[in-house]
Amino acid sequence: MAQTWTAYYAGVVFAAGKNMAGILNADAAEILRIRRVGLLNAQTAAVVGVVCQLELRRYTGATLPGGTAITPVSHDTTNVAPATATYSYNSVPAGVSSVLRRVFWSSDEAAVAAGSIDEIETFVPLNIIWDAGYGDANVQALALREDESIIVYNTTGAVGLLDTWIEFTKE
Amino acid sequence: MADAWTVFFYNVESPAAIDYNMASVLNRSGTEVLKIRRVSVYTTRTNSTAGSMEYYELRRYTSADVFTYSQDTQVVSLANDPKSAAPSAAIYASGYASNLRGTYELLRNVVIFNERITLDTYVAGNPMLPVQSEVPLSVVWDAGYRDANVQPLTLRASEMITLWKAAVGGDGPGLTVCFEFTKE
Repeated sequence: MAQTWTAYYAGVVFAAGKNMAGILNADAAEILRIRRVGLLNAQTAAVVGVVCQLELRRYTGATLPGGTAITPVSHDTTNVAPATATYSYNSVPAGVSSVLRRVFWSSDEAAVAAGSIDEIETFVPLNIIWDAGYGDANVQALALREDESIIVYNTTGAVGLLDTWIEFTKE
Repeated sequence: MADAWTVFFYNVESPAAIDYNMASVLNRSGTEVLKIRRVSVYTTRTNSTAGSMEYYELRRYTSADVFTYSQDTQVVSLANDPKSAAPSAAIYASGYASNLRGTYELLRNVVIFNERITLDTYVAGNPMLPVQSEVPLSVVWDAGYRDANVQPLTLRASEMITLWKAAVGGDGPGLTVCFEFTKE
């Protein structure tokens, strides 16, 4: 069993052309494996939402300067943190990007008497956008080697808040 | 195979005030390690209500054993095998809102649609309730479930997982929280 962390990016403001959640591995010896990526709509304030379009991207030859750093939660408090990883949003992803997923997202808040996509976006099992290899040892998880990053990138839409969680292991 | 338990908090009353422990598992043993396998949250409200949104945080506290338990409600864990030896120093409780101690980390934001379920009301009133009450869709945490490469959340000495009322929203009875964990 590999040491595992969950990076949780809570209530990040949507903006067009924005990194909503990112992890950069800058270490030559350690490999980070992305096990799952999920999105959630947990905003509490009423907003007039819009349709946002997100891309899950992997960058090679990557850098990730600026932005707001977060600290991932270690699944066991005895784990040894990755040596030179960066976890941030609103930072500037650079490098050669590949798109792994494109996701449409309503940025309206969930309401008690409604049954639209806004409400469906509050369910954890229904909003996992990446889980390659989860529960199947024959399938590689997405690997971040030296100077590789994974980014949840919002291309369009600038209203509301987004929660993103990224579950990863270190080898 | 590790011994496993289910802790079931049924129809917990959600207070109007915030900063309240709705349901928690605290490990106070220095030698036993509890591993949280799954957490589910859903509505089991039966009384008539206008319905409201409720907002919670799934948190892990460290250095959590300084809570006091004068106002809590404790439940018992149910062993998946009755022959299992229960954790020696675990507490399963809701309450003690005024005794917040320790530091916490956010694992998930959890949104709940709080209204009673009635017959034939998928479209009218509160369409999300039947969806939310489906057990497979109520899972809010399952790291490592069916994947031995991924660590489940581990509770060592004085560490606690809790569903915490952290934002103003609806109140009243009817929140059900289920923790599934193993002991090593």
